[in-house]
Order: sequence, then C-alpha cells, then structure tokens
Amino acid sequence: MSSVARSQPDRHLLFVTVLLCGAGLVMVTSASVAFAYTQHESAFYYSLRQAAWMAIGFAALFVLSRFDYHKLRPLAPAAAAGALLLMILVLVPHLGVTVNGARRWFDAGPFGTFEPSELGKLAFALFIAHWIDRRGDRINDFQRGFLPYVAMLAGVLVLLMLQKDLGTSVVMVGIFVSAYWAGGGRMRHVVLMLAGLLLAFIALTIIEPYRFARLTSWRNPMADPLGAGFQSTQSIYGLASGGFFGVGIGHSVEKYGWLPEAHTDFIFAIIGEETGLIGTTLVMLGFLYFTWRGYRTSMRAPDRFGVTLAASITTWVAFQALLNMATVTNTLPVTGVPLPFFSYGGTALASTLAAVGVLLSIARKGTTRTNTHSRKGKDAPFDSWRRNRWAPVSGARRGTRASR
Amino acid sequence: MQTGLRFGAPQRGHKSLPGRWRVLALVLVAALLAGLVWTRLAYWQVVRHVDLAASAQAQYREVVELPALRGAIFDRNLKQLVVNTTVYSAFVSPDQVPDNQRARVALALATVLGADAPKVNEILASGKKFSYIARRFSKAKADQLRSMVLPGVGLEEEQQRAYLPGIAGSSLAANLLGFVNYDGQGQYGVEAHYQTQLAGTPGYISSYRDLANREIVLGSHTHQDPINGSDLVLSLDSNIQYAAEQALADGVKKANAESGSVLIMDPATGGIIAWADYPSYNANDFIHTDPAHFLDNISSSVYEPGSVMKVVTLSGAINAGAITPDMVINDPGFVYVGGYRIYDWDRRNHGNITYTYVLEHSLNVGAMKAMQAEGHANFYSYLQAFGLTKASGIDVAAEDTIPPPAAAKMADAQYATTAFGQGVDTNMVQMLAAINVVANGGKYAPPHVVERIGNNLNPVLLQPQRQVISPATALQMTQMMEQVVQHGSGWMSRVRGFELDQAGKTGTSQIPVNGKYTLDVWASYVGFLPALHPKFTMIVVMRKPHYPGYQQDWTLNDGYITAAPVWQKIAQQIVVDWRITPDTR
Repeated sequence: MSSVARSQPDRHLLFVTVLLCGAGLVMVTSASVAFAYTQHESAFYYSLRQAAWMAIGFAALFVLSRFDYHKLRPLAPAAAAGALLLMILVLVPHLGVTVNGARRWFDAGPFGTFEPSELGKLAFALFIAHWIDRRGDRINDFQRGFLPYVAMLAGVLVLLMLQKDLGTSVVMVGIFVSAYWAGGGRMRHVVLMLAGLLLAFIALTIIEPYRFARLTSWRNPMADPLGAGFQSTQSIYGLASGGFFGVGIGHSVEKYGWLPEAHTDFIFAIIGEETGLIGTTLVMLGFLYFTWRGYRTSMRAPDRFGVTLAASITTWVAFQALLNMATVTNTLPVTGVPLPFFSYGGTALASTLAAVGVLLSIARKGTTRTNTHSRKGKDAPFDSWRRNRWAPVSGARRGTRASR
Repeated sequence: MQTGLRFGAPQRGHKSLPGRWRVLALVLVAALLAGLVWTRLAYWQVVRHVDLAASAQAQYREVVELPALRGAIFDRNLKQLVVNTTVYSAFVSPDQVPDNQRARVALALATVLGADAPKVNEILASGKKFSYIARRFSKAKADQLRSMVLPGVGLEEEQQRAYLPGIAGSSLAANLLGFVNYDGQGQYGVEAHYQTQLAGTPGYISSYRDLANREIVLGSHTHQDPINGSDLVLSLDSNIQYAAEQALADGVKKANAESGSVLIMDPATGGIIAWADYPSYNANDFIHTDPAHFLDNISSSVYEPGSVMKVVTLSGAINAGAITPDMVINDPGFVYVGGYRIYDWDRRNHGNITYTYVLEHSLNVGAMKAMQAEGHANFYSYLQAFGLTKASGIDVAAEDTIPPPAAAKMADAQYATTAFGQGVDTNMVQMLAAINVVANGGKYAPPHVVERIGNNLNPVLLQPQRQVISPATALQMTQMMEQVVQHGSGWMSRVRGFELDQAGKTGTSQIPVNGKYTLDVWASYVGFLPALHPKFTMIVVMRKPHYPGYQQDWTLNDGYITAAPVWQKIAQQIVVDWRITPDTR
C-alpha cells in the first residue's frame, strides 16, 4: 500500500507562523519606536514597513502553499542562478548599498532595502533539494556527489564572505548540510564537510583581526563594556533587566539607543527585557514547535525532493533562530543574523514566509505513516514514539481521515 | 543507505527515500541546542537578574541630587551662630577648551583665582574631561569669572558654614559647635552630635537617559523634594560666651597655663550658657587648622577635680546625717588610710575645727573624715547620684569619661583620695552638673546644650529632675560655700555687690604623670550666684598654670589664684548683662 495524499494544509504550522509573525510585529514596533522617531521623525516608520513586507510575505506564503511544490523544480536552477547573479551584482559599487562597512543590500525605494542573500536562501534551498533528488543515491559518491556539492557550497560562501556576511554564511552552511544529511548523504561526508568548514572558519578568524577581537570580547564582554563588548553588554543588560516577568511591553530602556540593532539582530534582547523569561521562553517554544512541525513535514514528504527541501527550510528557520538567540545570550560571538519573523528586515521576512509557504505546500502532499509494512510492527518503529504501536485503530483511523 | 540503523519504510513511493531517523536526529539536535540556549537565557534573566539589572540601572539612570539645606544654629536669644553661605568652585573640561583659547583661559584663571598659571596650562593640555582649578571661593570671584565667558570653564555652587567670629584667631564657641567638612558631615561638637537632624534628607530627581544622554520622556521620572535640616536653638548666650572666651584667654595668659576652659550652666535646667576653651580655633578655616585644636577639653578630656569634690563629699555626708556643718573634728594635718599617710595641702595641724572650716580652707583630712563618717557604701552611692560614675550624656559629640571602679573594688586609699578629688577622673560637664545639684535645691539637672530641635523641645527638658540631696542639705552646703567666698579660699572670686551672696569652691589637684603626682596642677574654681537664687553655675579650669614665681611655692598655681579671678571677671559680666541683683537680706 503506498502513500495517500493529503489535501489538508498543516494548520499547526500555519498557526504558529502567524503567531510568531504577530508577536514579531508587536516587538518590532516596540523596539523601533525610539530609533524610528530619532531617525525618521515617525515612530512607526519601521513597523509600517515591516507590516507591508509581512503582507507581501503572507501573500507569497498563501500562493506557494497552494502551489504544488514539484512545479517549482523546473524553476530551481533559474532561481539559484538569479540569486547568484544578484549576489554578485550587489558587490558592485553604486549598485549595492553599504551599511556598517558591508555591501549586501540594493536600494528598494519605498520598501527600504533589498537583501539578495535572503532570497538566495530560498533559491539555494530549492536548487540543492532538486540537485540532491536528481542525483539520488549517487550523492554518496565522493567524486560525483560530495565534491560538487561542497564546491557549490564553497562558491556561495565565498560570495557571502565578500559581502562580509558571516551570519548568512553560517545559516547557508546549515541549509546545505541539513539538506545533504536529510537527503541521504553519508555521515562521514557530513563530518568531513563540517570539519572542513570549521578549519576554514578558524583560518578566517586568524586572518581577520576584527573577528579575533570579536572572539575575545565574546569571552568577557563586560571587560570592555564601552568598546568591543558594548553590544553584548547591552544585550545582556536587556535580558537581565527583564528578569522573570519583564518590565512590560513598551517599557524597555535598552531600545533608547543603548542596544545597537535593537529592532533587527538584537530584538530578542528587547523581548527579554520587556516580557522577561516568560516571553523569551514562549518565543523559544514557538520556534521549537515550528521546528517540530517543519521536520515532521520533511519526514512525511512523499519524495526525496520534498524531504530535502522541507528539512533545509526548517533548518534554515530553526538554525537561524538559534544562532540569533545564542548571539543575544552571548552563547556565541556576535554573528549578525536576524531572528526569523521578529527582526526588522523586509527581504528576510518575505523570503522566510515564502519558504514557509513552500513548507506548507510540502505538508499538503505529506503522506501518512500507513503502509503495509509498517502495520507489522517491526518496520514501523517510527510510529512507536508517537502512539501505542499496537493500537489497532491507529492506521485505520488515519486512513479514514486521509481518504475523506 | 548502507547504514543498518534505518527506521521507516525503505521503499516509500516508487523511489527509495532517505531514512526518517535522519530528520529525527535533526529534531534532537535542535532541541538540544534550544535547551542550551534556554539555560543561558535563564542564567541571565533569573540568576544574574539582580546584579546586572542594577548595573543597567546605573547606566540608564541619572540621579540629580537636590541638596537639603543644613539647619541653622541659634543661641538662646535667637542670635544665629552659624550661617549657610554659598561658595563657588571652578572646574575646567580641558577637552572643551580650543587650543587657541588656552592661553586666555589659563591667564584668566590665574588672575582671578590666584591659581598657578603653568599648572593650569598643564591641566588644559592634558585633554582630560574634568579637573578642579580652585574650590570654595567667594561670589565676587565667581561673578568675575562668569563675566569673562571662558570656554570649558564651569562653576559649581556649594554650601559652606560661616561661624561668628570669637576672640582673635578663633570663631565663637568653636569647640562647642564643631564644624562641617566639605562632604557635609558635622565634625566635633554640636555639628557632629546633631548631624542627622541638621543635615536633613537630600532629595533627588531621577530620570532615564538614552545613549545620547537625552531624557527618555516615556521613562519613569521621579522627583523627591529635599527635607531641610532642623534648626537648633541652644541654651547658649553668645554675649556671655564671648565674655567667657575673652576672660579665659586673659586668664590663661596671665597664669601662664597650658590651656583653660570655662563652662557655665543654667542651674534650673542644666542648659549650657557658655562653653569656652582656650586655645581654640577658627572653624571657618578648619582646613588649615591642626586637628589637635579640634579636641575639646570640656567634655572630651578628663581631669582630677581636686577640692571641688569636697562639695560632693560633704553634701553626701550631711544628707546622710553623718555630719553637720558645725560638727567639730580634730585635724592634725594628716590621717593614715590603708597604710598611706595622707596630708592636708599645707601639712599643718589645724586642731579642732568645724566642717564649715574644712570647706573654707579646703582641708583633705576633714573631707576624708566626713567620707568615713558616712561610710564607703553611702559615699559611693552619692558619687552615683551626683552623676560622677557615668557619662553626663551631654549632647555634644565625643564625651569622654573614666568611671571609677565598682564600689567593692575600690581600695580604702582610693575612697580616701576620691573624697578630696584626687585619684578620680571626671570631665568638666560631669563636675559642673554635680556642683549644680547644690545650686538647684538638691536636684540633678541633666546638662545639655540644645533646647529646641526644629519645633521640638529637647526631651531632656521634659524629664523630671532627680532629687540627689534634700533642699535643706543643699541650703546648708550653699551656706558653707558662701563662707568659702567670705572667709576662705574663694576670696579672689568676689563679685562687687555679691560678696555676701555668692557660693564657691576652689580646687587644685596635682597632675599625675606615670602614676606620680607632679608640680603641674589642674586649678579650678566653681561657684554660683546669687547664692540662694542662682542664675548660673560656673566652673573654670586651668591646666598646668605656671604662675610667676611658682617654683618656690606650687600653691601659687592654686585655683584660688589662677581660676577664681577668671570666674570673677565672667560673673561680673553676666551680672551686668543679665541685670542680676543681690538678694536683700
């Protein structure tokens, strides 16, 4: 007995996404008012733009969720090529906008700026899922699977490092490695890949003195609270001021210029300050639930393309959120990644929501666990952790619902 | 998929699918990492909440203190003894002085404030953020600086106490009042003792600041008005204080003494009317004063009261019924006590004499016999009742006492010497308060300086005074002390018109050094006037007077010759100033 297609979208996934986005909009509004007012004399400058991008993002989400993701496959090479092109073009002076010494944005007029590497995450996720599926089991071949894959990753990373975008590089590594892993890549290849990346990272750290300084200030940010450790110190101050219950939404002091990037990369510290451990824990639980539903989608996907794509999109969101929170809590040095659904940043928000749309589309095609083999116990241990594997109604009920 | 570890169906759909355990592993990794991050989160938000939130507050909050005005101090006639004045301090922010202005700024600061020009230049070149140039100068100089509009130079207002001038080189009642240091802390005397009440409670304005130090309007903003310090009204009379300081200074110089003190008390209340030390100091210039001068000899140092103590001894014995003023005893000039032979001051055989004669001529043998007549236990209980065994509790900082040993532990010889005021240590406040019992009809009036604190009476004034000796005993003792002035050692204290109407007693005690008495003495005179309705009780103590020619006769250093004239001079002044008339008989 083979899979049965489900036409129902994953309402849980959609719901948790909407919830995170709603909370995100509230927090962007709260965290940006002061900065927006001093910069643009309009307290809602950023939140209105974020809302507009969110609308675009949700539009993309709904369109893509109703669109059979298989039909995206033919577009994948073109999308990846387009993203690559934009990522190269953004490096060209006058085309790209430089912010804080990094050139990674295009000027997008009334919508602020446009960051091609954010779009690149979705494009590359699509492309590598397509690529892995086409290679099938050949990806386990060192020369025909592993090496080309590593080459692709390396190419993208070089472009990102030229944009001085360490954060997106790390997330991209997460996307590539998780896709490779979920798509059936060998464990030793994955280990090799990670080891190589680690070596490259160490090399880059030693070469660039500013990265090394970042590492030392990470070890003890309070040692130089007004210099290198300023942002981390302020971030920790924000979290600590929040305590268990928070100072109340809108009552953050850190957002008044103390914490740099309060409404973008460090919005989680403002969440911590205003809503306390309760708020940050709820946000983490939200992301965890999102992660679970995303990976669940991957596990239920009917084909390798879906499995790989769902895994890499979920990893993207989950890994990026974790990296962000780890940075804010000073668990890792400052990498500079936005918190998905929360941080101000239109391109990132819209492309993340579009990716969730793809995820929902995969969920729609997701199979149930039912097939002839799995009913017989030994082959279906996967079910066992979710429910009593001997429950006779298990498969039957699901089958009934699925065929409804 | 060569791995043996493989869950799920190997054949899902028409193509082989990678194992679900792979994605499940990702879930596990995500959950683990999330747990790790959450631990960090809980660490910062819960474990480090208190200390780091405090550091954060210190960073955001700007607290501007609103200083409380220190209370003024008035004398009994509401003359202000201390005035709060505003002085100015100049500071520079060298980083805000343009290079081309440096010379002008340095010159101006040097000219107006007398600052060292090269040093100012050095500070200006340092690029520091802040440095004081001169502190606590007058408003005139501040106005002059202000009119010059110097870049990077700021003025800071500070409060300073200004005390009334006393005799040359000192401020009025400096040793009683103390002073206030630059941190607003009262030092010594009344300023220290009443620091809390005088200082009040500073208020503050606290606000949140953003990084650019702009006030956050949405932030909570608290304002607390300062509570100004309470004014103090003393029982002091500044005219008498001044007269006492003058007379004392003259007396100390004349007697060639190391130092001297005068303490005058209101007999009925125990309120201090004058508190003079010589040498004293100028509290307005405390910063340039040797701290040794701050010490006050009246309450912060002890002495052996000598024969003044005989008033206490005889009063107790009379009150106990052991003796009467007319009782006749034999005084051969010495007695044996506890194996020691103790002499009268003149070592002469006085034959049969009365106790009035004993007091008049200050005979140690008589005092010891009176003490023996009433017994050690009675004697000791009178020492306690007269307030000589514990601190007087005067409301002036740093009272010093050396209480006598417990009654049972005192040797016979010490009882004997204590009876005439040697081998016992008291401070002047204790001694005057004890003698004042006689002046106050036998009641002990607790000594104090402050009558009112803000709108409240000093609680000491509301307490009932304890009866130490009966009014009849007090009267008998007063009459004996009148005889001291009329026939005995107190003749130098006679105030014109009050010759028959004043009571007194001299005292001279040799100063022990390393347990041996020397030729140096504490010479004192205590008395009150008018005898039967006293308006004041006064004690004068001279320390180490070296009267001209004293080497031949140490009795020339005696209280009657060094202290009594000072007493007389001040008493004369009080009589005039307060318009006291003698009792008509």
